[in-house]
Amino acid sequence: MIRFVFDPRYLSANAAFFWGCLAVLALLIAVSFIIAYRRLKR
Amino acid sequence: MKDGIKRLYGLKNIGIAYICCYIHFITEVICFYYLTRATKGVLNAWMIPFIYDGLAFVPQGVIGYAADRRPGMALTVPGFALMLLSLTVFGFMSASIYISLVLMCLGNALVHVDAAEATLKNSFGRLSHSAIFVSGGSFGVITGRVLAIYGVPVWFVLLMGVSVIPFIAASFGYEGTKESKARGFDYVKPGKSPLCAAAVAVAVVIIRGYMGYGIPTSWNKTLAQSVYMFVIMGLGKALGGILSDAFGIRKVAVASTLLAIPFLCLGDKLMFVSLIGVMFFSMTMSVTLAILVSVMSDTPGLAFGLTTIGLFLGTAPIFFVRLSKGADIAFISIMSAVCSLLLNRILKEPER
Repeated sequence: MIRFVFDPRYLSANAAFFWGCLAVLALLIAVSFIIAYRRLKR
Repeated sequence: MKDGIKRLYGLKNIGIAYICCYIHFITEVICFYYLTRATKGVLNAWMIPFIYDGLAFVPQGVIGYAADRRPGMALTVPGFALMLLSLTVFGFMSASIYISLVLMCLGNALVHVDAAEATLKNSFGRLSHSAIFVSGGSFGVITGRVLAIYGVPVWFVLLMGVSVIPFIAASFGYEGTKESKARGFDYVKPGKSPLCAAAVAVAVVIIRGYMGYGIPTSWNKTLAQSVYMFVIMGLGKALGGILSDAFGIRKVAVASTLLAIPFLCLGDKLMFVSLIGVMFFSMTMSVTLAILVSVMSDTPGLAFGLTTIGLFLGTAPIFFVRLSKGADIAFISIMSAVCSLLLNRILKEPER
């Protein structure tokens, strides 16, 4: 029913860029939601 | 019916919607021309669109919040400068693809936030403005792809990019742009928790983001069919806001999410049936934005950013996991029904 299509081996030489971007994105999502949460709670 | 059409006559500042629609159109032309060319014949090409989705959509929350705190920053100017620089680096220099990719994403994010803020702050709580603005993107996506597929040179697209200068200048003439608030948005029922309303809006955006990629469209094989799909998507987005202003946001939100289900599920091999479904499901775009701005009228940029983050969260799983066709249809049907129910519970018709 669910098929995983992601294989980290395919990243090859770009792995550092990919994981770096993912970390930045996670941080930005967290910051945005925290700001929104604080403003909505006010 | 007549009353509904009459309500559209007095739309103030509708000019800003067309200005921002063109700015959005050109932004997507540049981005999707770049993406189509950058992924052509590249091994692991999926990574470039994934990173693009992330780096273009996600920072809009933080950028939007910064723009809310200092209104009138004219982020479209540095945004376009970055996008044109990215295209120049990509087209005429032998630098790494990731340099141009990051520049393109940042430029895209800046332009989106600025144009969205301009439409929201000048629309006096009407949805037509933001709906017309977002619809420009769909037309731009497919135009950019077509230009790249037909081998149009980079300089021509750069020239198209430069054509936005008078439109950016015209957008400065609207007074609301310099304000920090988006006034007049009041679409959430009294007594509903703002946090709950925002969570529902983001959830609906996430589901719609997934549906955008996940809907079964095995009919879509040729370039012409892709053009039809994006044109209908653009029309649906624009119609969602315009019909909401004419007949009421709640009716349009509930009807469009419910009506989309049968057309999307039965349209896997039938283009016209599927296109009707695509149009209905695109209609909720401005509705979710209106909900978020209603509860966050002090920070319209952040509200817009939350919708783009939701879009990324909805599309990201597609790059990692796939559902079987049956599971996909079941998931889409159930989620659309849930969205419709939730929207019905939190939306109210504003008094005009």
